[in-house]
Amino acid sequence: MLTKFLDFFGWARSHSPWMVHYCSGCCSLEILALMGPRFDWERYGFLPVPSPRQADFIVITGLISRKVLPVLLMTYDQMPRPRYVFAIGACAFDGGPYYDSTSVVTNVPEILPPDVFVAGCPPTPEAILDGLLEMKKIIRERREARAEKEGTWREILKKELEKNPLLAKQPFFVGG
Amino acid sequence: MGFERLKKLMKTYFGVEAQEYPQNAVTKTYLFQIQPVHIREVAKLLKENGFNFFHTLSPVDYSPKGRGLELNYFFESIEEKIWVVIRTELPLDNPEIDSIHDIYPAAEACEREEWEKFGINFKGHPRLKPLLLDDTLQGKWVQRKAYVPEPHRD
Amino acid sequence: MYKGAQIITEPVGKEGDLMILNWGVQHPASGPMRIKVWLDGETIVKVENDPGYVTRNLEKLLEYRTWESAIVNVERICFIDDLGTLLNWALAVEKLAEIEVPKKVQYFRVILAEVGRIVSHLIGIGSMFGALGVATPMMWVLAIREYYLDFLEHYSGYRISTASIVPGGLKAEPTKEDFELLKKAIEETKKRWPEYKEVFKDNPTLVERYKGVGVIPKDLVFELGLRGPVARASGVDYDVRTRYPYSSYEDFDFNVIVKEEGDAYARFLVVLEEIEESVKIIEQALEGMPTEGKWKVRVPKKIKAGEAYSAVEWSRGSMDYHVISDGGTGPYRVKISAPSFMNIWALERIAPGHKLADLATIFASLYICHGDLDR
Repeated sequence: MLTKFLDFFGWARSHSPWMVHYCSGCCSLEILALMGPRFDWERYGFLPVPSPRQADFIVITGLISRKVLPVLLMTYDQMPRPRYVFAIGACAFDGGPYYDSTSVVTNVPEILPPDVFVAGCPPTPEAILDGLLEMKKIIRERREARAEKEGTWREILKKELEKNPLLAKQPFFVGG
Repeated sequence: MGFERLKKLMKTYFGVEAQEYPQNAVTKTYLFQIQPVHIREVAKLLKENGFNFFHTLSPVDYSPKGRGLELNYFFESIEEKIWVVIRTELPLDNPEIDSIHDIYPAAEACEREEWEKFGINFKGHPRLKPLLLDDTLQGKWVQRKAYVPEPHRD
Repeated sequence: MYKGAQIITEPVGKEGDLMILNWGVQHPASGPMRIKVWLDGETIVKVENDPGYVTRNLEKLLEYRTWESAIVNVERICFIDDLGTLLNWALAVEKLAEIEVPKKVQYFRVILAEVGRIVSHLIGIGSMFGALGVATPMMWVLAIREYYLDFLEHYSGYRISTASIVPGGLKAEPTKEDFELLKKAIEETKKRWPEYKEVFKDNPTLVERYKGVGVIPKDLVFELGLRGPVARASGVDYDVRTRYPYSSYEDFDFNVIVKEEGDAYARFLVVLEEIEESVKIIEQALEGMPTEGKWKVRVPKKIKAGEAYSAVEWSRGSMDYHVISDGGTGPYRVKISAPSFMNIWALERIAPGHKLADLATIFASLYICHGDLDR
């Protein structure tokens, strides 16, 4: 009975997956194109939402620089469960064209493992949409997000908080 | 007019001649090679003679070639459509030069960036603090030739 | 091994009577950048920029690339208009190698650069409305943008990372279908633009929020070395295309949009009206396209030692490269002087005195791209 009840939640969620309106790299331009009239991701229920508190998934739009990594993890940490990670672009996999740059994080999947990854530099909106539909399936089946069990993001976040204890005291911050 | 006067004054004050700088694809450009101690006086002279637009500051690390750091300041006179490059050289160990941020406020951000990337100490700059790079790269002077980026994992 | 990174080290809170607020990094209107704001009630007292959240250290990376493979990194300075940055790289390398490309190539490069400008300006207009929370104009401009991206995709194989302009010419020869797609894009623009422009220009929501806000006086343009639409909206007639023509821009007849007011609305109008001028240039280039000559001239693998400085009018202002060669297969040093890096410092001067809600509109009207701000 309970499973059926929860399945209903999964079904409902999969029809309105909201993304945190947060872009860290250039691939966000193709996300923008997805929002546009030609690809129109809203017909599948996708919507960007400014607050991580109301979001279902976060998009790693390509490049993650060293400076932005803690921000990404903090944003992810503030999301309510279930929280999925969707990564696009070569940079989000191994640094892509910036593989030898010291200010770019080249192992994002080890830190925050994505549930769906779309390759390309940048991937076309069609490819991203395909990945997003895959994402919908995952949400509907109520699979656990990979980042909940794997990834080193919790340790990194903890280190950042130790460096800056005032941040940990902020009321909006759960540190889960 | 402005540039002719500048040429004369540069000759009398600092004893430097204007050299042609044909490498600039944009327009007619002249180059002055000066001593680093004179940068503030030269900047004031440029400003008085109509060179009111600061373009960029471009340091080059020539240490593998047996030279020090070369600083190129690019200025433009909006009325005359003439560019001037001020070139000066600094030693690589402890490079120091006066800041021109109060004469050309546009140079403030450029100087801050080059301090962060080359380790050039701009004396008198109000905020030489991290701008673009994260904490792990501070003090490594990433744009110098001695710094080699290596593949890394976090 | 994770060694740590710099993050928001100063906490939000109070400083005397002032409240400190972090505007960004995760804010829909800010993009990956933090702006630290000191507030007295609703009024902004002081603003401090904290860029660097998309830093890739491109200037260093370029030292490890060859002359041709550098285009991969050069065009990723900013994805919104990658064609202008590519064009500047080609000009700089050609200047170093002392190569002249045929007129035909120059004309097609002008077409590509103007397509890049249109694509960028369309997004700029959309995001200026987006800063107000108005989403419809963004949809309209994206609809037009897709036609130009169709052309780019058909020509180069990719929508926004085209890698189409290489030192010595073009990556590929444009075909008949390419030109047809471009003509279709222009046709669509001309069909829809008069109506859109009317709606955008006299939009009461926009006029109310943008007029008289964030005034940049003419002196400040010279003082801070501001470039592009920001400078032109303050009455400074500085456009590299007409001032120091490159790549055969002297052959085309177009107006440089200059406004005297210097407020956010003037910057919006400059961006809005430049699209029509770009369409004009593309039409002229298509008409007068020469037929003789090759599409690519050979560039030597090794370029003799020397230096070159080149500038193009990119969509956000003049983009300057200072390239130095030591006779090797790649650049010895590249200095990228980006317009957004200069323009962003105007925010610290003009934002104080405004209300916090105006920060989003002023920031959007400065027309910043974080990619070229951080490089």
